[in-house]
Amino acid sequence: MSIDLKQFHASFFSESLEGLDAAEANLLRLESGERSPELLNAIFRAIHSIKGAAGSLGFPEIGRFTHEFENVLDDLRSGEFDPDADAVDTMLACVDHVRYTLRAAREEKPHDAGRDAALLERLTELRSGTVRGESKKSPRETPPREQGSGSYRIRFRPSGGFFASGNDALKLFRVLDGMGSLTVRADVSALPEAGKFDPEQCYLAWDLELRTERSREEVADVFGWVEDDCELTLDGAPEVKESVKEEEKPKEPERRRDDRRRGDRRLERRRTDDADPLFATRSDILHVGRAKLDGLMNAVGELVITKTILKQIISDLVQDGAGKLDEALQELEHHSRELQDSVMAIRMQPMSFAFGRFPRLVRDLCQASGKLVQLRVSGEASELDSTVIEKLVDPLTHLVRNALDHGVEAPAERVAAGKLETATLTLHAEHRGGNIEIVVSDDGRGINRERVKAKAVEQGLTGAEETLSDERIQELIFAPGFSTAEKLNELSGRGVGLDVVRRNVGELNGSIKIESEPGRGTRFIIRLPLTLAIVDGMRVGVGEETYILPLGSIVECIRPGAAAVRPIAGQGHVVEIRGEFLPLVSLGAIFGIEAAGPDKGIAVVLEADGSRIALLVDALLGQEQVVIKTLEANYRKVPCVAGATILGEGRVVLILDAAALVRSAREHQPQH
Amino acid sequence: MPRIMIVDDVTSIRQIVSKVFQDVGYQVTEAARGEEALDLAKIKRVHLVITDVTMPGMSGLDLIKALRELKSYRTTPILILARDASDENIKKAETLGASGFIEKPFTPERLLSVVNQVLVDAYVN
Repeated sequence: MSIDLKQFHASFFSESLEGLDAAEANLLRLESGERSPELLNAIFRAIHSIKGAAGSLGFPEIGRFTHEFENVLDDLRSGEFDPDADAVDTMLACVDHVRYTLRAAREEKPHDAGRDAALLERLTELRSGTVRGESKKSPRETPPREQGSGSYRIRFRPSGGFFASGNDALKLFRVLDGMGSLTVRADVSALPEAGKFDPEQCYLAWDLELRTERSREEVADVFGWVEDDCELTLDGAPEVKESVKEEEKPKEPERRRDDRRRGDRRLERRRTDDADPLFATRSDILHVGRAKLDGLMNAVGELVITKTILKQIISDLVQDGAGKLDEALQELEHHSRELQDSVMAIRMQPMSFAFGRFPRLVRDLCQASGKLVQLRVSGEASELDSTVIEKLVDPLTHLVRNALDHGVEAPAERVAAGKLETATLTLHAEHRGGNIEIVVSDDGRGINRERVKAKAVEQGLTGAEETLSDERIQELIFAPGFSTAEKLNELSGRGVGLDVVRRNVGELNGSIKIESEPGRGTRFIIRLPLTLAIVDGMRVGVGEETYILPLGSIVECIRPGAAAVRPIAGQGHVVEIRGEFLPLVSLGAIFGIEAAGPDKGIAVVLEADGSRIALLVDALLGQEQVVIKTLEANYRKVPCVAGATILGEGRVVLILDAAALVRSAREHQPQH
Repeated sequence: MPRIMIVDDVTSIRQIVSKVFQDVGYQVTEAARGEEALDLAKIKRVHLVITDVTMPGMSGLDLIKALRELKSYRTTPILILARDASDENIKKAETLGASGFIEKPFTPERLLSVVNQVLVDAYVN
């Protein structure tokens, strides 16, 4: 039989890596002092699943390593050793290693046997600290226990079809060997001549001598599975000589069976307790390749476009909104919307995929810095497009590191400030309208405005006499290259500023803002659309051109009138809206299109990253849901443009990047 | 053609078992959890069940016990996926009425030969 095992690799890798994440999270819970059989079982199960599949799928090295790891976890589960800090460290290192080897295997890189060996040694150390481990490793030196110590003579004569029914004598001997000291003598007298030899038949019998402290029943149990497939005699201490030949069997096994049933009932009770939803693996979930989903999504996108085109044609054809056609069209619209929603739902993943890595990161950072931090995660069930989640991991990691480096004080400093020694870092996600809001907050020292200002003056970003508004402070913190220098040599100082975070969030059509209170802490609030694939947009017209503005960033649209617009010498215009002055940016001017004057058009107030501008357009043309096609994939990145889409009449129009528009307007205009 | 049910929470294991038997023309039903397998068993008869033991929720052992309580599954061969021949679950499963075990990891050849042997024993002999 030839089966290409590669076809099963994708699901093996994704499921295994997921399992490792769960194992890691549970090991961290273990480290924080949580103890429960379910917790230990869940860790065991994750590694067990990987082991079972790895071997069958052609990854014997991974199988071997996880086998050893599983044994250790089994010991842990049965309480053979205590999961102290060192033990958890070792086990986390093993999880890391398995993750690493899985990734290497996925990329078809060679297996790193050296790392295997080093970790296996550490695992062995864990086990050797245990009673059972010792007895396993050096059975011969272990003094026999009082009950049941002695030697057994076993006569084992398998039936001819022994191998055919899937049995393996060697395995049995290995088990016996593990119980104590075993001598095996093969009886080859039944072997036929070479010519008459049937390779699938078993002609051998064995005489075994076993010295062990195990009870007779335990020894007999080893053969429990092959009882029907062999002749077996078991002689020896401590019980009276008794044979378990075929004829005498009925009585014995029945007694044993009862014993086991009782045992099993106990087990069952424990098992029902195991039904903790937290540990339920996502087994009812189908693993589908990203490419397939993208294909489906594209098809739906095209469908939405076609529908819009159809709608356009019909409204051109039938002036008076002909009844039946219109109804059918509405039906189509309804169904395609449903289809679109359910395809979107497939792409959604809970935020826990992004949040899941932070307990480990925070733990490692705390270990390195000596700071004490408690991580609180909430709203991790909120769902978000999986591509967005992936791209969110980096900026979130950056913010968490930033909070730990700059926000959270050392324990002594916290105590001196009258705060709890242990700081709290919170990750929170929640849906708001068509957006998701993700908050990273700490209760550390807050942003030091004086230092930010001093630094900004030093770097020539601002004048010494300028009073800095909250908005301005935020802009400075996010400015490229900005950093409060004395922090650079601390643990995160990677020479990358928060500007990268803002850029990452911007690429996801999102915005970020900061709230900070000196001495009380800092909150970073990220707002993102739920998906990158489809956006609710407002069609706006400038001259002959049409553009799409993401509806989410529009605060309001007003016709300012001549009185509200004020020119600023050499700097364009500002517009006064209910007492507030906003920079007025002409969309026509940005794209070099002849447009109406500043006092004639419509001002669309955009908000991004906590700042606002007014964008001047000629006309509002209506709301529309549009499918985003990236420009980068087909052309290149264009400033202030987030992508393109196809309108109902088949025209390609650009989707504007509101955050970039706000940013560039703010950068080119002085503060009011 | 024989109908087989594979119960395992690990997708790749289910996939490989399905493939092995589908390639020789058997019908394969997959279940990712013990509960699911039991539900399927109530509406569908198969000739042989292969189940993993360690699963979240209903374990393979619980499943064997529950299947044996169904009239139509009283004698259906059930094989468990075991760690090795010394896996203590083998004996527990046997007591509950399992017919044998397949050691993980397995090769497609081994899987097929064990299952065929069990099928022959149960339905031919």
